[in-house]
Amino acid sequence: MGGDRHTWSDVEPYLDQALDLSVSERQQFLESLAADQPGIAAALRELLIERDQLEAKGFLECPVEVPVETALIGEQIGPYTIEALIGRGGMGEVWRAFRSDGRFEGKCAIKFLDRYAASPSALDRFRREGRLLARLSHPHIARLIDAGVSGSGRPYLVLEYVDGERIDRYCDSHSLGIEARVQLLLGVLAALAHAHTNLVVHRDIKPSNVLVTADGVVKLLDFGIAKLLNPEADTAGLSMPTRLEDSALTPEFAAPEQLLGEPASTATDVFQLGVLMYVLFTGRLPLDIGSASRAQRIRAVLDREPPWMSAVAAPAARRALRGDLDAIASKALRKLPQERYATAAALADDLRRYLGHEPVAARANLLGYRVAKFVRRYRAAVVATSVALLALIAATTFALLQMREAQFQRDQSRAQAARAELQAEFVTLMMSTVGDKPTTAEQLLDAGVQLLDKHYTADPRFRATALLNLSARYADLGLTEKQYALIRSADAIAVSLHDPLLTARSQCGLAQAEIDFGHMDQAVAAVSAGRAALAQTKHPDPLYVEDCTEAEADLAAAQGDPAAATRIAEQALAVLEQAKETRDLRYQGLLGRIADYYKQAGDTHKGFEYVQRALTASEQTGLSDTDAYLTDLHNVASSYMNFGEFREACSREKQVVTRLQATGRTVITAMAVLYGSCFLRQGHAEEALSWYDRGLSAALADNDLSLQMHARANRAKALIALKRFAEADAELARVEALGNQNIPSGTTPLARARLTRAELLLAQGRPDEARRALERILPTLRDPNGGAAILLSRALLDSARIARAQNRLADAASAAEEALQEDIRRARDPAISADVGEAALELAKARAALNDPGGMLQAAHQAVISLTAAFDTDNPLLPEALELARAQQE
Amino acid sequence: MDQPPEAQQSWALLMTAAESGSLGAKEQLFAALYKELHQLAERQLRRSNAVSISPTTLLHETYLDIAEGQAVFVDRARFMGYAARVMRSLIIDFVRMHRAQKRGAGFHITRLEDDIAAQRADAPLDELQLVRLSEALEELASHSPALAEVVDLKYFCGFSLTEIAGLRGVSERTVQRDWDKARLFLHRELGQ
Repeated sequence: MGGDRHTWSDVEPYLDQALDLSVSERQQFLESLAADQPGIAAALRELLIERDQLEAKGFLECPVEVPVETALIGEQIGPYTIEALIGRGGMGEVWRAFRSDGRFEGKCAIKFLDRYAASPSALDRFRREGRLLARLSHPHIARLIDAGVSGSGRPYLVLEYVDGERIDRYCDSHSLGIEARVQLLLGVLAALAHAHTNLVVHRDIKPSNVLVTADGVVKLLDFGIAKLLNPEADTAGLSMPTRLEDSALTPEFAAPEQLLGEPASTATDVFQLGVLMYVLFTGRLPLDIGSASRAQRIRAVLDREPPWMSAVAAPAARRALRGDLDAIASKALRKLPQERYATAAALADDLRRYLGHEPVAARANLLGYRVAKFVRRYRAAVVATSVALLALIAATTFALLQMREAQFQRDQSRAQAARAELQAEFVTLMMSTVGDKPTTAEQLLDAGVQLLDKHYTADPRFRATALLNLSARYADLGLTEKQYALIRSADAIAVSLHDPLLTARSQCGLAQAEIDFGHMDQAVAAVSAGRAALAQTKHPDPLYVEDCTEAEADLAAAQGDPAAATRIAEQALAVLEQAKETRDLRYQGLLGRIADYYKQAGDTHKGFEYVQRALTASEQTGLSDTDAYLTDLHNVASSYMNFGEFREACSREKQVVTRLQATGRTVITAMAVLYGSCFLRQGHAEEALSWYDRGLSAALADNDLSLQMHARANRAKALIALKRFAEADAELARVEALGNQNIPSGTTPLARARLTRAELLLAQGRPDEARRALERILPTLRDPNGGAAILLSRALLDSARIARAQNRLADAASAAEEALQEDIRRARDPAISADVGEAALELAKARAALNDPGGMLQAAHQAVISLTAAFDTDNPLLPEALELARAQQE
Repeated sequence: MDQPPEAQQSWALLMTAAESGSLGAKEQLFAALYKELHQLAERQLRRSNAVSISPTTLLHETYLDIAEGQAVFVDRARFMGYAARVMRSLIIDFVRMHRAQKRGAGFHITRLEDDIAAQRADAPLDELQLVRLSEALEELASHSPALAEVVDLKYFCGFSLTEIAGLRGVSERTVQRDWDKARLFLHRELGQ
């Protein structure tokens, strides 16, 4: 062997190289080495084979066992007396004990934790969380009886003692058939469903945590303990690989999001249950990665699709697994949490359907899933009814309900927990009613309402709460009639129950609906009724207070007092922030509203600041695909447009429109029109017109007259650019006709149409009429509170163009000058404002005509700078500006 | 804290002296660390009725204990490297002592198999095998101290490869390579 050692140092450098290579590269490396040094190559080959063998059998893999003192037997830990050591795991050892003070008969297991950060605050949290988990009580959950810290500061958990066998071994030793195994899994799922409705996620499901007793009862161990031990793991998304997570997390059973350090959810448990199922049916892991390194195993979980169970199971089981069970496991094991079963209950339903020989939901989904993957890969535009959207709505409804319930549980009775369960059941039922048929969000909500009417009449309180939640979702979809109807029914129930909290919520919700319908008197009455109801409660839920405050702000805005609206809304914001309710749509929506009020009050900069805050808030809470987020993004785009920052505005609006189209949602009028303007000002009138057309269809579908005026006025502008003057004229006449009907918020679109009329006349070569038309409208635009001041600089620019056409050159120059000043005032940075560029170009033209080369050059330079920064290079104005700037140099 | 007087001067100095090959400094450092670890382990067992010692916890606590109040910063990675080797001797002594006390008592530590991965693991080594492993490690340390240290940290002290990589400030891949090589070497040595 002495010769061998000599060989070791000879081979070592090559070993280093070979170990750094992939398996296939190693082969090549060995072959080329064999040509030069066959002896060393042979020795190296042997070493590499040995290396794989050592890895496979785990040589020195598990740390050495340190001898244990048996003296602990008979010791007291709290009220427990230790009987015997029953095991040792990654976290510490487990002892069997019994309660010695007689208050609790029978055995328990005490788990001591080795590796727990023992700071006082961590221990305190440990105790608190432990007590919380101890409330989880279910026949299939090994209960956490107590959690404490021993005299020496060592944390321990007292668990229900389960005398059982690991589920996989139990199945094999009892030679259970497929159906019996499914039955055991259903027990595990029942335990999970119970925990999920209590907001507890297991996060560490694996065979060693699932035991079956001699009576065949399945018990899930260590519920919530992964979380208990590692409370930071869920926060901030910083995946700090703490010692514990590192040692406790087995990559084979971890869901992709856990490996990525993302928060665990109920879908994480669904995934882990999928792995367990796979192991029970096939005897192997979904991804058998053998002796690969930890990093390789992680990559595999993230990247590779497991084979069908039927492809790897024992031949006898294959036929039974093919089809339904394959599909169910595949759905549970999807990489993306949102593609899995949403809850343990949904997975259990499918397994039950399998047992009852009914069609399984996962299977119907399967074809869609494969198609969806194909489509995603080729980035085709998919405009289909969006199942993803449905899932999102159901998930937000569910999450909001649960968050709310969690708050109740903190200080209210256990009855609330039962309600949470009821709501979870309701959501599941709602989802299952529509099943996997293509469904719109509206149909989903309709199904929910029908369910309520049919099955939940016995619990009016739940019914009212659910009606209010559903009405809010209708409001999100813009279905105001249905929203209104639901609030009315909820309110009727609230009144009959004499429940002040519920009344406050329904009245203040009603107030907002009344405002939407323009019923101001009713709105005022509803708000004060809501306030009165709130006053009757001792400790009103901050969310209800916020509901009412927000309704008051809305009312102030609708009554034309945006300054008061901002003030009240900022109070509402403070309520939310104080209650730490800053992580959902409500907070994000309120920020967006405050932004609107500021804009209405004329403070565009403050408005912009709030919209940005709203965007940040939604990005931080992962709500960046919601309608509310996209609305805020649109508002930011619109603010940028107002600052003249065309490029910034249009890139955002493009994002909004693209997201909406990709998920099959409607592009609403305001968005379509803004996006159309992006094309028009870039010189693409045809494309602009098609977007304005869409805006108009949306406005017609919504039956919203002021939006129709808005879309038509813009259509006219595109038609002028296309020289389709007759159509433009007809369109403007329609707006004028609508304007005479005194439509709320119709002032700006009407002014816009009249301004466009002047532009039409100018384009038709009738500058005198154009001038008269413009002068009729200009005074309204100069009034900063007139509601149409936003159009002033465009009007001044038109005025300059008209004057130039009439050869009134000095007037042209001064109007252009005024337009430029107005645009500079509005801009955050004139150097990147498209409006500044356009006004400067007009000024340059006027000065050129006036034979003022110095002034012209200055304006032309300004134009080139701003236009280049604001527009794409193919913008038609740019060559004009460049020509003027250059002409002077020659 | 009743530290040995020689260590009380400065652990950092003692470590530097040991590295520079100063005569006796290595032995001194070893003895001081051994005493320190041993005392802390005893105290932990006595004070808390602890059911076992976690070497990782023990090492961390020892480091915190001695790093506190030192004038010169004690490099953590270097310290862990030294202490891991000391921990190995301590553990082997514990195993010996324990066997002497419990001979015939039939006491075994049962490992609760934790997951499928653990099922692949080798059976735990007995006292004799541990002693032979320790000798093989000394042999390995004589020409590749870094490789031996990975084994001390991982097998004897329970650090994961990821943690070792973090401690040393190198990639996990590098540590994995060292670990592979060290295991090959030891396996061959023990197979003699």
